[in-house]
Amino acid sequence: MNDLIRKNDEILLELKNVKKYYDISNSFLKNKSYLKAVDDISLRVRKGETIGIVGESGCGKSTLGNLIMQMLPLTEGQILFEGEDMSNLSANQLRKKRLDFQMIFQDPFSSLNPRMKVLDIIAEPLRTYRIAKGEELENKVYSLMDLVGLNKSQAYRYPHEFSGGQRQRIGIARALALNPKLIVCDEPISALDVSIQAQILNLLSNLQKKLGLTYIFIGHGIPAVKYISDRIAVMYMGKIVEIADKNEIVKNPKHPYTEALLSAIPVPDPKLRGNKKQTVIEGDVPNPVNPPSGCRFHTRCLYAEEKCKREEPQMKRLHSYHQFACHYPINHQGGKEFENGTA
Amino acid sequence: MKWVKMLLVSKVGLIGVIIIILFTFTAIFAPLIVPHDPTEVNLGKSSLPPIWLDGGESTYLLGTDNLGRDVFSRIIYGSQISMLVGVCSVLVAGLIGIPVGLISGYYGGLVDSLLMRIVDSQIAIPSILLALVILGFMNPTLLTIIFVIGVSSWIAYARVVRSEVLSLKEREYVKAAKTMGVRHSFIMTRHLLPNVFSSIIVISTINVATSIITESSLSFLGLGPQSISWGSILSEGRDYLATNWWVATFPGIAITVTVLGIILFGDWLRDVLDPRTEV
Repeated sequence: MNDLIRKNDEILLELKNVKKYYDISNSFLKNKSYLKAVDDISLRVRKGETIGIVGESGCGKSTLGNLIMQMLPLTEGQILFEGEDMSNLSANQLRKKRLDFQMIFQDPFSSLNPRMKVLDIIAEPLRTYRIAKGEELENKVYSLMDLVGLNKSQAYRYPHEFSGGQRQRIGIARALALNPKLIVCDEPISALDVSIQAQILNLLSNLQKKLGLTYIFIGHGIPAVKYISDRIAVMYMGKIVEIADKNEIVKNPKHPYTEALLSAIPVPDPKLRGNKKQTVIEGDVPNPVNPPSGCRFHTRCLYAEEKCKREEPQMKRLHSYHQFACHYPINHQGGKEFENGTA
Repeated sequence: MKWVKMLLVSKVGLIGVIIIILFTFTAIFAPLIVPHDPTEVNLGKSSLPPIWLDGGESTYLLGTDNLGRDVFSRIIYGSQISMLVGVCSVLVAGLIGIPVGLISGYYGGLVDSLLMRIVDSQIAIPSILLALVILGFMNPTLLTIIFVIGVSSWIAYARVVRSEVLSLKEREYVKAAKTMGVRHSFIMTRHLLPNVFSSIIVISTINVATSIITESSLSFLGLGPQSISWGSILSEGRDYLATNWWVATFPGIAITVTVLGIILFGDWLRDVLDPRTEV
């Protein structure tokens, strides 16, 4: 299994017990309360792989992306990029480090400045780090445009003259300009038409092969995330509840929440619909300011028992490439023994 | 060129530009245009009505005031001071207000609170009072008048720019620039400023009008620059409104037309600067 974390695998990014709490205390009454957007996440990202992060809106997946991008200060924990703790870096060192990790944004209509030409948008990172200028800069922009499938004759147009898919290509070209090692894709296809989504996913995976990129792909639907990812992490209320190789997680989900997400995938063939087991979870995500006791999913879980209300489940390890946090995992084949561990 | 094309397409913009060019030329070439010395007192010709009324004289196009000075010549000369004060004080106001608004909105927090409290405290003082106080210990020369009017009107820029920046800085392209490590000064000048420009133009054009009027109020109070301006002609003419209505009316019309021209020009400029406008 190539998804095993071997000792000689090169770890590009490591999150150690990362927490991001927002202080929403009422200063008048001195009630301390926190919104736990990201709560104790540990994750290792290997060089060249794609980790998909899925979850409902508000589960903290975008916050996690922003934390990795160093756009928000951590409440607790560490983020190591190539073994280096990013929170220890000075502003100047961090600025230099930013060359190595870039971001692709969700909304291609607001991620490009409407008053800048495409050339200037893609050239901006190159100008910022004084990597190229004049004709060299122009040529570099043209080759980036070529790389993402844009015509160089479009360089002097403004973003509003492009379609959503083309705009997203501009955003990708901009992210690639600095030859980053890691790209955080924050729901890059959710604002696009379905027909365009596949094109952008293919573009991203071709670029990965060509340039040896590492992706953190944030999305909310399993099919698209599965298409591009090597491993998938499922998040619920600020925590990773299950992480596994993509085929493993689809065939053998252990956490009821993962199962519910999978059963929400529509089946295109009407004849097959009857065969599919439906796991429908009800209700909304509980208020993250007062998360439920014990397992945070127990309020909506079909299999919840007394223990789930009292005790918070720890990450258990099925294989080294499949971990989940649930007291009563879904049993597909029969009993299994689990060991404790981190992703 | 997009500019020229848009000028021909937009009649409103064309009118604005023509008015501005016309008034700029009259201001520059005033000595060549005027039929009389604007300061020449001729009591024998006092209170003549405009040329098309009974008793009007052919060389006094718009009549004369109570001292027999030619109103037309005075308006032509007055355009120099009025246009200069109007435009330059707006520049002064913008140069103070726009950076304050950008910094305040972009950085937020303590910087924002501090700058906005300064703005608030200035709102509490009527601008004409502020101008009076400053002019109390400065000589009312042309430069000080421009400075005073500018300083008393920059808050509008700061407020509007700040509120626009507050929403613009949450856009993803600003976030993208930050993730790329673009410097704050660049984000402010390259990403935020161009996108608040249309609002700035709208305030500036209105501000030109109010500056011309503020200058006339200061002239009326005897604190204006000691030269002819539309405002000073207007305020002198007010005393004779019942008998010599033309003295106050024509500089008033000049102010109105100039302001209209500048507003039309501003509208057009806003469209030209927006890349989304199709020709």
